[in-house]
Amino acid sequence: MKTIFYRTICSLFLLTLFISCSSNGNRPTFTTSAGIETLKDKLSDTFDKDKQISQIIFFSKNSTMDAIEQISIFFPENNKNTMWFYNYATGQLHKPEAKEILKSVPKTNAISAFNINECHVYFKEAIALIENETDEFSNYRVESYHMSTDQTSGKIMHSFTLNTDKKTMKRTFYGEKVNDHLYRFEFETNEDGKLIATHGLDAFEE
Amino acid sequence: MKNTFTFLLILLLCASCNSTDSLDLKNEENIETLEAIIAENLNSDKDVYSLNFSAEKLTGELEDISYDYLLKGSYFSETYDISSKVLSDPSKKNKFAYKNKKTFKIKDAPISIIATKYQEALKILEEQGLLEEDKDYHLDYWVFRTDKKGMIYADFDLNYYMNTTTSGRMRRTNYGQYQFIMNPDKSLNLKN
Repeated sequence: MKTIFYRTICSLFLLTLFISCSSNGNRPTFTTSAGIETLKDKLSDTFDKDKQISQIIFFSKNSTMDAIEQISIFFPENNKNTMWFYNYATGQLHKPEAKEILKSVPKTNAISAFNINECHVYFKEAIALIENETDEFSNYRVESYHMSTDQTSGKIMHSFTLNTDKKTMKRTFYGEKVNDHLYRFEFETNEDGKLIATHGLDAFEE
Repeated sequence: MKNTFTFLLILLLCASCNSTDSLDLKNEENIETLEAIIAENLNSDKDVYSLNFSAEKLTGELEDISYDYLLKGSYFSETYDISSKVLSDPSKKNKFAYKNKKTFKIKDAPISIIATKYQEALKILEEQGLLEEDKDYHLDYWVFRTDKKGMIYADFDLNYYMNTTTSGRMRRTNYGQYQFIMNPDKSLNLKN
């Protein structure tokens, strides 16, 4: 009886190990080019590339991982602000009933116009901005990534939040403290598509 | 096994009791402890715009000490937490709040007179017929600042419990407050 028990435990352990290893290769994330490709595949499999949306948001699973857990799109439908989301855990596209009535029709872009490749570029730029100022942080990952249609220009704007690990216990002037090790930084693009730090790097700015 | 667990539990209990030595500013005997905490954890020579002592409301038990200062053109504030013994990361402040403000050194703040001034404040309340015998007046907030000439003065609050009202699951505690100012010449005024 005892051996059967141990065997089950062992095989379960191996199975978990196998699953977690195998899913590593095609993890949807902004931190690697491979992760970007995985995200692009998911988007084209899940959504109609011609669908007009006002914004799209990617959420990571938690603050310690960079894998994307959920993708939400926002668009006007029947004069209502509609949000659909794909969740990696359920493996499904969820379409909750829209309730919020729109006062005006928002400007939109086709899903294909939201350039996911740019996200990886901006992600790397953000790290450069942080490391240009301080070397206290490491292990950069996306907490959430937001692309939205600017309601004046109609251009697609990026904004995102990065989680980082503070290397030492020394006190710092940078980032927003979440806990002793986890610090956050926020970035967004301006009208010219230039990335600027909006939170966490302004300690010695005018 | 069970014994070890019980022992550990007791040990834990003792440890947690030990660390909750309350530090009430209005007690003369705590001033030395407070001065030791400051000497050990803050830079006494630091030029600051204010030095704040905040207590848990309606207890007078000191929770944290904070101060603000200028560094490379930016203003920051830092908080030392009494129970966790941790000095926070500097947090940036709006520079407009510091226009024409003057600094003082932490070591120049007359911390030793806080308890005396508390007693004086009670006397003022008594003279004005505001003091109620059955009430405790908690020194919940004390801050040192400078006036236009750079002279150190202080503002402090005495809070007292009034009543508690309950509506549904919400409990609301009402309290009264007397605000005092200690002028640079150490004289006191009741502000409200």
